[in-house]
Amino acid sequence: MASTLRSAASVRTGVSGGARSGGQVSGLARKTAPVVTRPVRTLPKLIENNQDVTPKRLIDPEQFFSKVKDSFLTQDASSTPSEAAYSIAQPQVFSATKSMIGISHGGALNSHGTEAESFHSEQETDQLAQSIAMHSGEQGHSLMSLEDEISQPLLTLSETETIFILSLDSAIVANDSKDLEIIKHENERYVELCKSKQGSDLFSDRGMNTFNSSVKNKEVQCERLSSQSREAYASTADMYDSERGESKIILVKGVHETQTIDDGTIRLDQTRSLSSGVDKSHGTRLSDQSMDETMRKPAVTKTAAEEAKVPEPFDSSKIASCVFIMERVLNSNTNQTKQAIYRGLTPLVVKEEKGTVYSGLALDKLFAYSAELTSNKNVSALAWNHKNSDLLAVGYGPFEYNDQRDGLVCCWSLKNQDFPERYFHTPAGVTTVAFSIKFPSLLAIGLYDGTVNVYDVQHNSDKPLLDTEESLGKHTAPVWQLYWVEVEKGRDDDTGEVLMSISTDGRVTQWLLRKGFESNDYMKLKRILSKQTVQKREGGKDAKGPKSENLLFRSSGGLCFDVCPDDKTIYLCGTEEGLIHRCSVSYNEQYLDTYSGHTVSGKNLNNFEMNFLFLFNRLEPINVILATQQYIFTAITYAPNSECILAGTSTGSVMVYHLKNLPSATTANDLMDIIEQQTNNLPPPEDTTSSAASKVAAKETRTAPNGTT
Amino acid sequence: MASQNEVDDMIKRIQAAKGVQGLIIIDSEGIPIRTSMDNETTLHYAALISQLTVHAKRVVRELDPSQELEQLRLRSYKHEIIVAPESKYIMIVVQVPEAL
Repeated sequence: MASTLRSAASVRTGVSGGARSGGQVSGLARKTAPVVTRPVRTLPKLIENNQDVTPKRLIDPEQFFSKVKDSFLTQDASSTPSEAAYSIAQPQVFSATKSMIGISHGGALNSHGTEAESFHSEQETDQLAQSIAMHSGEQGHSLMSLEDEISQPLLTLSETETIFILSLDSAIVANDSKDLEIIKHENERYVELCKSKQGSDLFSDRGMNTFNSSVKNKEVQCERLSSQSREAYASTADMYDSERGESKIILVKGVHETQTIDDGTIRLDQTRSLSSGVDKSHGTRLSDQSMDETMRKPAVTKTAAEEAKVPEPFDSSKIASCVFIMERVLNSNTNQTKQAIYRGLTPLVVKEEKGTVYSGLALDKLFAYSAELTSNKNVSALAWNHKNSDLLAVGYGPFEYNDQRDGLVCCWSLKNQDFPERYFHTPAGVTTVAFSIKFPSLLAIGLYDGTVNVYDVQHNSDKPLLDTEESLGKHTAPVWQLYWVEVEKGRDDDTGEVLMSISTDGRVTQWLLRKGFESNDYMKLKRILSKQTVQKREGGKDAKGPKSENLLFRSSGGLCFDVCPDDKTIYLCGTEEGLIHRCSVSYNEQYLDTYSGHTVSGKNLNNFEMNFLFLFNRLEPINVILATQQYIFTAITYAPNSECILAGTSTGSVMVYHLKNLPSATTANDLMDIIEQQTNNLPPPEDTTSSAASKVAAKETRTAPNGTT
Repeated sequence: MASQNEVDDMIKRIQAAKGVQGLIIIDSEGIPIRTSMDNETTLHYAALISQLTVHAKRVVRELDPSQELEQLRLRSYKHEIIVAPESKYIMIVVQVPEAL
């Protein structure tokens, strides 16, 4: 083995010696000599010292080619088969050596090796052996037998390592090194040396050539990689959405399939059709193919199923909010002028005034809240919301007893004049409404049958939040007035506000909003006779006066009350008999004071009036308005900061009275004088039923029924 | 929110409101679902308005992604078109404002 390798190696380096050795071996092993010998074309012989030193051919071309011919054409049974067989047996080694020998370039080992072995190998081996055998006799060496190499050695071709013949690395030296001068000097010397070399014969540039291997093309085939390009345009809105996990970016894959990117998970959806241009999502379109807008997250799972069945019927509740907005918008379009005037703003369009312009003050009707729901209903109570001053609660209910119908409470807003925002149906007529101060969404209503309900205006349900149907302290007669009063918190779970009510059953009660309704009676209104009546009776008769009037206390129906704004514990209440009682929360047996007057059905206190009243213990009605016609005042209220009183009548008109010369601070006595003068001048009334026909103290101007002052 | 009956009532009230010429409700694909105008006009409006709504929505969202388009109004000499989009439907009302 090792000798084989040596021979192979030596073939590379010194060809002739190896060949000789190989040839000798083969010459020994060969049993049969070749039958045919061909004339060898010899080179001119070189003889030196009586020795033949002609350079020997390694391969004889004629023999080589003729041998090839012979082996093909002639069928020499004795020689050729064995030779052929023999030669076949050793293809590898000889092909390697042959390729070295036959070709002048050593670098062609690889490529020619393959070529050489294909065709010539069988014949060449023998030829080589022959040519080698010719020289074998001269040598007489016995070398190893190449035919030992039956097995084919593994040939590994590899690159040798780079052999550095000369390597001079350059070094970089800092400017401040010690031997800087020496290095510089050396550099200069070298440069001069190079220059001097240029023309000299000793040093001349020569080019070197490297072996250029011939190139072989090799084709490779692999599976075709198909690629698809996808793109999407993401706007700021899309980035915002994908941050929140609601990505709506859609990649259009094909005509009937789309994909939605959503948090890295990709779902396949089916588009319904290629409708033209109807694209509701914002801007994320890939190609010209349109996308189905319903590829949004909530609707994704539905679309696949919907393909087969009919699109689901239109459900209006889905567009509730936009219908709502639309209604408001339309309303504002039609009523913008009036609403602007209401607010005190300049309207967009100012209509020309037609007709004569009134020189005096006039009331212009701006708009009316009316709907089919409220037609033929009688307005009985009004209340503004404390938080949202545009919200008006209106109670509908009849006044008279024999006209009982279902009641209705509506909350109207400025934004919509054709339909209320909220409406609640009640079993009985509504007599009073009041909004809470502390909780502006609570609305308390009093009914004709005595129940008090509390609604939450934020919800539109007919069922009240609280009602007094079941409570023990409920009123048995119509509740005429409700009032939310702020009080100090008695306990921790108190709301700080109580509801006060007065009704014809003679009680003034306080309702606490704890878990249910808890009631507390403030006062039971007792029927007492007014001082005037007492005077009259005492004056007229004697000893026959009913002694029992002090013992018998009948409860009188309360009709209205109002709380003193300064001191929340004092309140005034008016009764059917025409008496106004001043009461306090702390006393529930006695009145603090009583003032007589007419049947008070509604009244309203204001700051000024309270101060005024406090000046007197005994108050006669200061301002009594005598109506020229027979109508009844049904409602009265004081307009703050303007010294005006508005009064409503049963005929449907509103009167505005201006209090002239109402003194702010006068001495009590002065005022008493004035009053007594007035009262003495006029005759006392016959009865007290009609509120208009009572005592008159003329301190104000009388007005015409039209209501202008 | 509101039940279907109430919303239907509201829609009727809108149709009967002052100055309203017509009302169309279209779905996301531009197909009219409910309309009070004739067929040709309805289809015309539906096609044009739906495209405009898409662009308008995009404008609003691009400027501030947390906003959504709530209402779109087109006022011309003769009338005003009010568009209120929802997530899946669009409501279009044509009105002649009182002021005009």
